[in-house]
Amino acid sequence: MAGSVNRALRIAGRRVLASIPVLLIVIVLTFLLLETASGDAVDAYLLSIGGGDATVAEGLRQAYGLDQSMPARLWLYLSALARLDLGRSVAFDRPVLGLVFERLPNTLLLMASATALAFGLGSALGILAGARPGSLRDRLLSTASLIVYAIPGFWLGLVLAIVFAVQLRWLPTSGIETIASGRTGLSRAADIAAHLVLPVGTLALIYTALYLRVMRAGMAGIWRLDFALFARAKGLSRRRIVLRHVARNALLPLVTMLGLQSAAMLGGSVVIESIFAIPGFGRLAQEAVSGRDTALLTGIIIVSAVLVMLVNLAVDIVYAALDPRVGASEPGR
Amino acid sequence: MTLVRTILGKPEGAIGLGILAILATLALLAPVLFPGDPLRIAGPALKAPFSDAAFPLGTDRLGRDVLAGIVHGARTSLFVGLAAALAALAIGLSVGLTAGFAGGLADEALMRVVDAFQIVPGFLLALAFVSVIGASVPVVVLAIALGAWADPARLTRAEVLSVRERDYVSAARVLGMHPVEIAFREILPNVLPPVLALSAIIVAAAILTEAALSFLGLGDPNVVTWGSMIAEGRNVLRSSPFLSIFPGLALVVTVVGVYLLGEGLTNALAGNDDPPCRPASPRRRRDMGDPSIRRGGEGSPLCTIENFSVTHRGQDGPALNKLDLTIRKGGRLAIIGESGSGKSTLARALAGLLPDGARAEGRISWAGGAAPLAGRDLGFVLQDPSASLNPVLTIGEQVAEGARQHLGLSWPDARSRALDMLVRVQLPEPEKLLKAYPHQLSGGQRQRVAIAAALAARPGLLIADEPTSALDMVVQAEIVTLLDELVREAGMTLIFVTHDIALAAGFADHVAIFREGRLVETGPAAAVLTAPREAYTRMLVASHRDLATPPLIGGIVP
Repeated sequence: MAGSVNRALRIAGRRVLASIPVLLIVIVLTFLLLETASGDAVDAYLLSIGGGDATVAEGLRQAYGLDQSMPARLWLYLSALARLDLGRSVAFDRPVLGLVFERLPNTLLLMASATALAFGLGSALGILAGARPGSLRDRLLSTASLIVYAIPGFWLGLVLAIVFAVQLRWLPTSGIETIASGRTGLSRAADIAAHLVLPVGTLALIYTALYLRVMRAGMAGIWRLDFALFARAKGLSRRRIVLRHVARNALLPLVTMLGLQSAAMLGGSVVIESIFAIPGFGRLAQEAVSGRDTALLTGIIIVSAVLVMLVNLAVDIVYAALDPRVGASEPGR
Repeated sequence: MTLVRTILGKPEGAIGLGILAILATLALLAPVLFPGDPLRIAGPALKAPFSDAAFPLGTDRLGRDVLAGIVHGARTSLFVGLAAALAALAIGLSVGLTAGFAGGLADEALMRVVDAFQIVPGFLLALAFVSVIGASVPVVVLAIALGAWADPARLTRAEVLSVRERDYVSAARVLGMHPVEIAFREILPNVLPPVLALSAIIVAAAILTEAALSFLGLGDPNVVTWGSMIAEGRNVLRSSPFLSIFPGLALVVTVVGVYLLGEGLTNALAGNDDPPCRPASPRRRRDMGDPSIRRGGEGSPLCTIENFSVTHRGQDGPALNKLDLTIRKGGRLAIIGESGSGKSTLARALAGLLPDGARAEGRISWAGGAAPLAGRDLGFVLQDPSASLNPVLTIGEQVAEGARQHLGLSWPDARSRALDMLVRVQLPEPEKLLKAYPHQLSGGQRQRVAIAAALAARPGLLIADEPTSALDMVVQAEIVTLLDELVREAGMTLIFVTHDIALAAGFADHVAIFREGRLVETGPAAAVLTAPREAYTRMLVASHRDLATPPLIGGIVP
């Protein structure tokens, strides 16, 4: 067991090192992209407060360092980032980092719940479909998952809201909790849970379809392999062949998918949070876009990149724990 | 084109192509079917759907025709989806080809850029890009491509690396072909199919991204899009939900069409006609033990095969054709033939492990009545030990599980049984091996493990399907010696499938020669191999002049 912990640590260390240049590229690219914007945050800010004269603009630009040359601004930005300073949001008139961390928990809660639900349900249904590829059950599940996976998240959210919140009035449609309800403890948790049912359900439904398909495809491929035949030749129970031999191996691509999808899910949170009015990270991105808030938008993209990186790191460690072959060819084993 | 025919041959491809063909026709004919600007006011506001023949799907808040909007919206959706996917594929292919072909530092640098684009959420990037540059159709196309090119780039590079070292590419390099020419003539055709299979997913994602962008108000404001229609309907969601529902349905149908076509394309490119091998229906003879396989009666028939044929699904000719053969208890039968002779099919038929969809005719009758149960009454060893062991389970579990299943042992008892078996197959450090994984063993060691697993429940019959063909010569000899000892000790019946007549000669007491699904000749090994009756056997024996050389194991050559 100590060996596998060492293996995981070694993999984690290597990944962290490899991620530094990647993160630098992300920073430079986003900086360049936002530099091409016509007009800067000060213009947007002045527009939003109904205009201001040139001296005010000049003063603001000097205060935020926006009047310097581009390489100088990039250097300013990089050195600030090194001190974990993501700059100041012009639209909110607050430090970006504080804003982001204020909104992040809601999004993380949304994504983690949706991912857990989708992963559990998707892999279970995928096993049901993949236990007998080509059977009626498989065909039904595969077709259903194909259709569900084709549904755009924002539209599914709207339809679910129409049905469960407008027609049936079972659930709240917007926000993360009832505002100024004075609830505490369990009652507050239950309130938040009720608010999360629709957004989590929307995200989870779509990703359940994805995980089902990946699991099912993986199992269909593994049935062709020799070790599946050998498991049958040992006369094992069907349950053991399906779960321990076939599904266990098909779990590996599913775990990889977990990491790959984290970026897409974070992007998807923009529309989901917009529909259900959840004050989260994705909505902050939308607000940054409409406020033309350069610093905020850059900060959001960088933080999301770091987040995706961390998720992938965790996924790599889990993968190493599931697959004994990972890192086996390393020296010093 | 044959590819189109293959796609149409399967329901998913045909349906997908049908959906997209109808949508494309509608999109192209939109200006004819619904002339004029779909954004202009056409009638009374908020007309309910299916209530007025002039506006079959009703009108929106401003009195715009919903059906006209959907048909015109198809133009935007399909165009943006295709254009963005093409742009993403073009960037991805160029970057992937360059990285894979250049190698070294350029590869390293390009792949870090690909990494960067993969960890930034594509939708956030598109969002930022459109908001910075300003919303118009070309910008939306570019924005979506920017968030989508990294996957095809990574895939292309991986494919390039896998074909780069193949012989024909090396040959082209030796012949002095220009690298760019090699890339286009030798590498691209091999790289393209998997990338094409990915392209359907990229098109679908592009259509969905475009819809989400215009839903958030970041689409081109001058064209009608399904996303903006859904957003517009959202304002009156409570009273007129259909305003949002119809364009959403159009989106779902489109994306389903793309996915189906993609599946058809993938299957066609992979030539994916063979059904996956899946377990046959559970066998019901679980409790009908067959002690007769094990006990006494040496030389009496164990199994009589009469007029037995097997046809695999999707194949015209039978793999085994009207076979008659008797297998004797306690004997060592070598089934000899080239690939395609039906010898492996026979082995799997005897073990009850024919692939799904294989059709068997004729009779196999076993002494004692019931057929032996694989794992309990018969052990089965496959050709390639690196493929027949599960890579993620420990050796201990894989050897113990059969014993646990059939001998009614607890896990700890089954593990000590596994330990015994590892000792029996003469593996070093058996205790350590219990906790090891297959990749930590050599090929010969893995085959020993497979033999231990096959024999863990003490079967009376061992079927070995080319158990040494994937191993090198020295290891082959060791494995054959081991099998010889194990069979002798336990008094097992052995069926040994091989293409190697020399190996069989030193080992078997009976041989059966197969060719193209038919039994050519059978009889005692000595008789058949020294005085073959059939021309084919004579040819086989003649082609193995080394029959006269010392056999792999101690001189039982007749």
